[in-house]
Amino acid sequence: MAAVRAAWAWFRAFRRTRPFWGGLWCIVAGAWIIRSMFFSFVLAVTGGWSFSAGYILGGSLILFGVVTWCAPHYRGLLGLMAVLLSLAAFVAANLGGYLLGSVLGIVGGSMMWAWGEKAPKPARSTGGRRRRRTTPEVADAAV
Amino acid sequence: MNRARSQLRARAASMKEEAATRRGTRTRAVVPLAGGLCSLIGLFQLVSSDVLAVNFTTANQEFQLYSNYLQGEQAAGFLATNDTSTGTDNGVTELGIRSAKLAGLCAIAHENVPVLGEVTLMIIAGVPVKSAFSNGSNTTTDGAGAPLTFDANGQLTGGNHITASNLFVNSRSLSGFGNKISGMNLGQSADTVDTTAGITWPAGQGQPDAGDFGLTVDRINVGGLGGDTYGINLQGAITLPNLKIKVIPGHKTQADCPTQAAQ
Repeated sequence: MAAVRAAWAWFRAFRRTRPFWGGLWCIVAGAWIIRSMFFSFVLAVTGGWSFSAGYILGGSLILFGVVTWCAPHYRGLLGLMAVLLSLAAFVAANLGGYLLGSVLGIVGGSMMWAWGEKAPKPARSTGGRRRRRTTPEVADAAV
Repeated sequence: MNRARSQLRARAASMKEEAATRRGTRTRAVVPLAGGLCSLIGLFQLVSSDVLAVNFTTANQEFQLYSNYLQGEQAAGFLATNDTSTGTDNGVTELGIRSAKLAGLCAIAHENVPVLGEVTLMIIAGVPVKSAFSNGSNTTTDGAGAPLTFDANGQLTGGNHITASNLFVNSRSLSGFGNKISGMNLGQSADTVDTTAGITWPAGQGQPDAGDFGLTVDRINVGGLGGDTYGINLQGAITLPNLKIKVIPGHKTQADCPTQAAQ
């Protein structure tokens, strides 16, 4: 039980220190696009663009999602690239996995790009663990 | 080993410390989101208004393909097996058409999705496809009741038709009404049909062997085309006017094509 709780605490910290959800949607989008154009590997390698587009575009989306998890520093570039690749997938890869993959990729990429430090929540206390609570209080006092 | 473990622990601790700062998706996500979705709508409009051609290739999912009328020039076919990703082989006809025109397209695939159950994927383009085809007579109206017009050679006239170049279909069954088929050669050695029709079989599919049964046709016009198809492979591009992609819960068939096209 303690192990589960520790793992959950680790996962929560992992989630909060990187664009987890944006990356996740990108990975799902990529997997879905590949699924919609699923060919044997030989065919994808020998058959040219119309067979390999799903692997290339969907694979890139998966890669971008994984890289933003590992290196959140690159989220801005990768997020925009993911949006553009999702658009390319609409034209090249079975209408972007029947539209769904493209939409998910655009949502995920936007979330990745926009991830960052937010203004701390005002008054609501979460057990006093939050560090940056001092700033708004000072601001309140000034008013 | 111990050093690696303590390093891991230190990294987890610093990650937890960092997690105390509130981070997340900021509202500025709306900017690329709106931009991306608008561009997607724009692309969709370009495809459905015939300006942009899309690439559409499938391999192992069987779907039903319906069209009011297929007009093909320079076609070749032979018998082959189709390998699916599940490992089972199916006997299919590989049919290649150098240039094709379709009066309406309604492609239906069924998929079992967790939670939702069976859903139907419908790709509709061109004029509406009729809810049923009568065998033994040509299709002269589309699904909305508008007449289809042909010239003396059985070629489609009028607009809003789907054009495709280098269209390859491998089908388990294809049926329809032949309307003015000319230049047919049944029983040509399968390895020569592609040069006769001026097409190249896509790399990766089963290639024909010398002496196998093959056929070539100069002009093939088929009314009320219906088929169980494993793959549509477009080496060229396809224009899809009035494109609609729909995912509908439940099991839908050809009977739903005109109503779905009208919506």
